[in-house]
Amino acid sequence: MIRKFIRSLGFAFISCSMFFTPIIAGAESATTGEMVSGGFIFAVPGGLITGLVLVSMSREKSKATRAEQYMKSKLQLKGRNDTYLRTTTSKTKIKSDN
Amino acid sequence: MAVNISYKCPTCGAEIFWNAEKNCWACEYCGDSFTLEQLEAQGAAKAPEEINKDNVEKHEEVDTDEYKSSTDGTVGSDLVKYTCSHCGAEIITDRSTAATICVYCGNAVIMGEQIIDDFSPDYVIPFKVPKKDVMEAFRKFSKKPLTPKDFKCDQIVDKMQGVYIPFWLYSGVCSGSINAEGVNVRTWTSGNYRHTEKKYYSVFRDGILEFERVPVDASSKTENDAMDSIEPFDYSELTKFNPGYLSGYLAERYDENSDKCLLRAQERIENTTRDELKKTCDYDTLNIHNYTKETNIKDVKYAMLPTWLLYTTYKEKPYFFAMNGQTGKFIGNLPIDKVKLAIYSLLGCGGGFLIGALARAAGLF
Repeated sequence: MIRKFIRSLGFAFISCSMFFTPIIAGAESATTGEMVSGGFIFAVPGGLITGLVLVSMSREKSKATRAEQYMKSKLQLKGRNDTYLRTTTSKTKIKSDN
Repeated sequence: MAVNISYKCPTCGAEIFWNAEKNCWACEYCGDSFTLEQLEAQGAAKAPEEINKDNVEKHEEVDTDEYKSSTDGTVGSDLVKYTCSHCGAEIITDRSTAATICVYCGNAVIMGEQIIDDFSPDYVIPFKVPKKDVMEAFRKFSKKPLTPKDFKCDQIVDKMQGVYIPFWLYSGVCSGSINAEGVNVRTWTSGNYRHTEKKYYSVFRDGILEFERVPVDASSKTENDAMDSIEPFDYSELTKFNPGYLSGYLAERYDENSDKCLLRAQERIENTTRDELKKTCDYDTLNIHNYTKETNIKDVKYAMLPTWLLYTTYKEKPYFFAMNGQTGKFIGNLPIDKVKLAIYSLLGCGGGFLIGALARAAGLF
């Protein structure tokens, strides 16, 4: 029991260190304004996702639209055809030239 | 002479009921329990073949001004009257009730006329979850983060019924074909540019998929979504129907025929066939332009499947919950505490703010 707890604690510590160390290192070079604006971008989706996930946990009634549990055998493919049509390419600038 | 479809203990003669815990018929008085074979061998069980339209009790029409609701708690407004074969009391119930419990003497009453001829079920899955486990399961189910604190399971349940719900089980074949456009995308970076290449393909697939026993509930009184949600049932326990399984429970007979319910099964079958055809297409994105399908139903069976239904009222609003009487799966929409929702959402906002700020600081976006 104690061994399991220590192991979990160790994993948590390593995971947190791996995730937060580069972020905190980067944070030292960012301005407070940049951080606040970044925070606001994620705040509303964070709240919405939390709310939606929690509401969906209380809603467990939905119409069945599939019947995959009742398949007697695998799909028997009678015909298949893949014909190449065309290729398109595009490029976007990701860094300035200088 | 009307046949009484009741099951008497071969040992003491008292009424016996299906016992979900022991998976057999049990006598509450002497404690003996029996399998169907034992009951049949001792002449204590009626075989379905022995029950016919000439020897079953017929319902009587009721005066709708006199009776506004059923006496056995069944839902429905089309009421009829039966007489309890044990105590002679009047049982006012819905027209499609196939089995009930007499509110006066507590004995099982099986309406023979609702389980013969066209209404005779092919199969039944007997109850496996006993009544005493239902409330505990409901308590566990209701422990969700947004459930109001005063939603006390013991206090709010108005009615809890073990009900055999009629289901149609459709077996058949669906043949379908899709015409689609598949796209494979490749991206790479070169110098200051990110290049994207998209290769387009015309895709055709044609296939056949066989289905077995797709269930659709055949009662207009139960919510379709709820009955869909308590699936799946374990068909390995599907047993040839015998009226004895209904003793001690409520049962509905179908009031929506197999043609009417077919559309729901067909929709599920055809959606799954399309999904399976899509799975054979190995593309990054697939846009289906045309899907043609044809479902051929080869066999339809009528089965009685076990459910526990809970009717509750919380803050004057009715709530309905259902449990699969075989697997114990619980479903329903719980009430939501809006204050809790606001607090958790604000916490989510805070978490999102922190992640966003740290990600910005790290230059991730």
